[in-house]
Amino acid sequence: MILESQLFQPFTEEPISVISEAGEWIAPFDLDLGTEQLVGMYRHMLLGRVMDERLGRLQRQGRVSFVAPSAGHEAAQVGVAHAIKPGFDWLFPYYRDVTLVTAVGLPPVESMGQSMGTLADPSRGRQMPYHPASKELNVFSVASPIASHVPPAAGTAISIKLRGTGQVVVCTFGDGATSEGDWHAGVNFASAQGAPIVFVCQNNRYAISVGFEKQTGAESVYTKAHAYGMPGYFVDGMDALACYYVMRDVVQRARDGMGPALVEMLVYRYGGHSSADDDSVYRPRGEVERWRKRDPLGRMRRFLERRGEWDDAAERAARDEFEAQVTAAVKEAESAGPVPTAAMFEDVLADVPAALAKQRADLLG
Amino acid sequence: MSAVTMVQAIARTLDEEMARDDRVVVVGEDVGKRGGVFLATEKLFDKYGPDRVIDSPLSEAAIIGAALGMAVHGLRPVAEIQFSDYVFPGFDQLVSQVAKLRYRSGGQFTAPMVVRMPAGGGVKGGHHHSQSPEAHFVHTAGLKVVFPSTPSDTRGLLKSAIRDEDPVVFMEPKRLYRAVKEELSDDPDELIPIGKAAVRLRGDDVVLVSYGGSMAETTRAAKALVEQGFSPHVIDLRSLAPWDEETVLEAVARVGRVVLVSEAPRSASFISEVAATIAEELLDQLLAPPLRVTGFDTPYPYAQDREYLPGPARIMRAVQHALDY
Amino acid sequence: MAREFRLPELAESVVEGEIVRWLVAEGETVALDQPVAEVLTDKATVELPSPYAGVLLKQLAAEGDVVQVHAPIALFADAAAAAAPPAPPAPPAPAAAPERPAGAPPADDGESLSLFKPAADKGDQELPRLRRPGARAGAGAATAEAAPRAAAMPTPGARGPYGRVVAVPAARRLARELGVDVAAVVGSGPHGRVRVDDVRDHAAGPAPAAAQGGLPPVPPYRTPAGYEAREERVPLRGLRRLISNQMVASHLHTVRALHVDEADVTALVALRDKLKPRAAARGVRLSYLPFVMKAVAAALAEYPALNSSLDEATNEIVRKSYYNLGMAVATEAGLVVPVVRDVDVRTIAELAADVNRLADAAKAGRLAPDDMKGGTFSITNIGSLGGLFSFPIINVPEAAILGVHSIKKRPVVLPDDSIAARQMLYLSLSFDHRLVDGAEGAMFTSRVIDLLENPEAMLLDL
Repeated sequence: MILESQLFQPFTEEPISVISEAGEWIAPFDLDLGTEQLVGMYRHMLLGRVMDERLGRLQRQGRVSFVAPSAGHEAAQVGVAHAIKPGFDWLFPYYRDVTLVTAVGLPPVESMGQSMGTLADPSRGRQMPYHPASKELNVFSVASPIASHVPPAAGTAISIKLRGTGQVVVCTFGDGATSEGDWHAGVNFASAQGAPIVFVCQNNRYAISVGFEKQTGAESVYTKAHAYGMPGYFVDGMDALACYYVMRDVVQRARDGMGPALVEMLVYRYGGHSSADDDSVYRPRGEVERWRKRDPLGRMRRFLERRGEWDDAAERAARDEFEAQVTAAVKEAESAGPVPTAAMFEDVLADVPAALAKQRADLLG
Repeated sequence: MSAVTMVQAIARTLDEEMARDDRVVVVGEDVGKRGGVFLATEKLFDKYGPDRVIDSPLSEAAIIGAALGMAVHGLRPVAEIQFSDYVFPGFDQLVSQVAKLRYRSGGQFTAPMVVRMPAGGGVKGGHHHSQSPEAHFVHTAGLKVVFPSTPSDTRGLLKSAIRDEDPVVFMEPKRLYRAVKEELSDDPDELIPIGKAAVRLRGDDVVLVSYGGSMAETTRAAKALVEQGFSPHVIDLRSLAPWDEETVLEAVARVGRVVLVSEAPRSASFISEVAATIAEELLDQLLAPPLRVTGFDTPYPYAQDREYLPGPARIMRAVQHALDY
Repeated sequence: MAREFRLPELAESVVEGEIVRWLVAEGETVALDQPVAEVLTDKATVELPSPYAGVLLKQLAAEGDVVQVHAPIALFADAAAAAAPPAPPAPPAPAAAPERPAGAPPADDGESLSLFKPAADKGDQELPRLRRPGARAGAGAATAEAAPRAAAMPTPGARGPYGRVVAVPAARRLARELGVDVAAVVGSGPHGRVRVDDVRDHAAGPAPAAAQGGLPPVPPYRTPAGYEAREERVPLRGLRRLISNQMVASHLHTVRALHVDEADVTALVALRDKLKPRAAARGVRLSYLPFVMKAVAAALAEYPALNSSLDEATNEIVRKSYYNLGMAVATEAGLVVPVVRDVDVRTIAELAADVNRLADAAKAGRLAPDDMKGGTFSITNIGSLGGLFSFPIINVPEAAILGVHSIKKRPVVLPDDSIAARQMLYLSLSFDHRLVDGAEGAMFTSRVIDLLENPEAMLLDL
């Protein structure tokens, strides 16, 4: 059922923005967020940027084997994080959501521990970097196969509906994911059930090197929502407040039992797809530079500075604080030590099966 | 209670478990109003309603993936894949999401769910209604795989599967769905543990090992052997992951000869794993090599539906080979 | 002979049907394809066409009965029916089959809705009749035969393409445990495969059937470390192998006893010296052997037990009234025992000639197989090479063998207590104590000695 949200129309021609590049409030409705919330959002964006930069350095130092740069995605991810109830609502993120999971409360030491594969990782070093999980925060474990998390996200939302627990599921993914069969399977099932879930596409217009025009014949991702009888929203993903406000709306709508929505946030990925990618092969430098000028941190910072809620000193202080915080997290993660070999044999099933115990004995004596 | 067929046993077991634990839900194509194309979920919709018996869209990825999401949230879903041949669109969900969830999250998230599917040939179904893909599941760490052959075993194992904290792939031999009726116990908590085989007949000349639909032919071969004065020892594996190594190895060590029967295609079949284990552990005890009687390495044929299956004659020829060795 | 009409699979397999109504009474004649009964399955009632033309002898199910598919429902009299389909045999009930309540209508179990139902079972086709692998033909490798003189041994140690002995794993392990070289075991399995029983038999050794308990196994030969280059291996073949087999057979199949005595052959020596030139004039080399043979033949006539054989197959003692004496000849290839026939009726000169001939032929390797057959008693004469006396091996299936040693001058106490240098000869008699008692053996020997000490006595029997 497509019902209009309070503040926003679905299926707009142009992406929704509420602040201009210069940082002016341009929405037709009044800002209803206080300084603390606004500064809090910016701080999360900055922390995310610092983590992204640090992880890139760690990878070049050989201390992390792989990174999936998220610089450019901060507004989208922070907008999502602030629109849900962390630890209550469910998050089904994808591998580029470092800022998102940090903003909902995943401690940097756990992110670093996970990426470094040490005992600081609550998942016990089982996965490659950028694959977090947190039971405490209801952050579902990231899996590498693209869009494979979408049907489970739909299932959790269906269960929420059946059990009446009042939660909402937010499932995030990139543009490439929307081509996978599993994406369709999950979105379709959720829509047939009217489940309380919001599907969020962080469309950076590239799936590794494949441009959006080759990914699909559709104009855009949000238009695909028509096929599922749900509203699709087109959002300027570099505008943190636009992302936040749209998400707040559709999350509430889902919580009110009006079913799922699809939100497309147009972003730009400043780095390559991953540390294993050389994006200069498929992206013109000019394009990257143009988007650099539209840095979401810059826009949000200008907005705050206009309101007198931020300045250079605050910037420097915040940067130093986050650099120090991340440094401490890296140190703590590394010193937690390596995961013991024996742990490789655990958590396959609830108990170690006899045949596997024999294999463990063969290896470890 | 009156005697019931295997498929009736499934419906009854689901009813009992849904009554016992209101977290248990059923999801799949046609499971609701229709009661399942084989009537495996008959009457559940009337009794428990659409909130617990969910007719899904035609998407195995959606069924299996959503079942996982439900399990993660706190339900105990029993997903039905209409034919094992159709698990493949949902195979990635099973292998990448379901099987690996506990492991990849360090035990933070688990997947207590069951994926049921009718499997096996002998029903004139051709390629896509006759496959036995259990080897793929056994080969995927993180899944339990079960394959009963009788109504009472189906009930006991399905209960164990539903109550298990791990994901269980529950394979059902569709050509035995209505072949036999058995009295079931009244005890709602009579479970058969996953990983335990059943000895159907004790003997000394040769060990016959099988599971699922092939138990029917194996049993017929055993009967013929007995009539001819031989003494076969017949083991129904019932579970494939984990499988009952102890029962099999003990018997083969004692007897020295073993014939393994499965209708699945020969190469990398599950019973090849059993044969390799027997050879590794018991080489010195063997009087003959472990022999496999299997389906052929072809897609399942339509016209030769029955010839494809390892029948009693082929099984007995293998027994002769083992005796003569 | 009646033919059975079995309930067919009516609709891509149902498992049972209810006989609603018989359309034909017992004793009625039926045409091919004529409907004989109405059967209810699922919710449909179908008519069953008759597979035969003929008389319906008996209805095997009553109206209202629920019958299993493939169960017989009627008997038809044998008629000249054209294409009567062969009735498929009823599949035996699977192991877990419980009682089916008779007369209950088949429940709606969704068969009609189900797209796929179990396909027609082709029944149990013709199931093969298995045979239990028979009692193994050959016994263990080293089992001796009754007539081993030309025994051909079964070849042990069948080898696979890489030179490894073909054996089942359990047999190898047993061989290791028993210290048996699996390569030495004759396999009774297909392609000469060594099986467990083969190893067991081999380890037990070639004992006679009545042997109880385990003999210790033959310790395998192992080259001491460092001496490999100083060993040469030659296959056990040909004459050497035959001799070896012969020796084993003799050793195991006779109860060998030894009796030793001495003869004063001073007179015989003198006699031979005298006769030697006369024999030489006829082209015959005269040794002592013809005299010994004559003495032995005479003694055998008096003590026939030493001239007999035991036929173990029939448990009979074979008494012989002919005297063919084998004489052991050492050749380059080994010891052979050609036979001098009918010693009792031939002259010393004839015997001497025969002895010459055979000895020459033996040394030249020109003995015919017939030359070595038919002996009843053997004499071995290795005394020429040295030694006092010996314990010769009986030339089975003979009962005894006399070893004749060197004639040497020795000091002897004469009847009048004087000491003289006399020509003395030791005789060693090995005899099979199953056939010959000690007393007989002694008396025989004494008789031989008597004739050798008093050779002129043989003239009486010329």
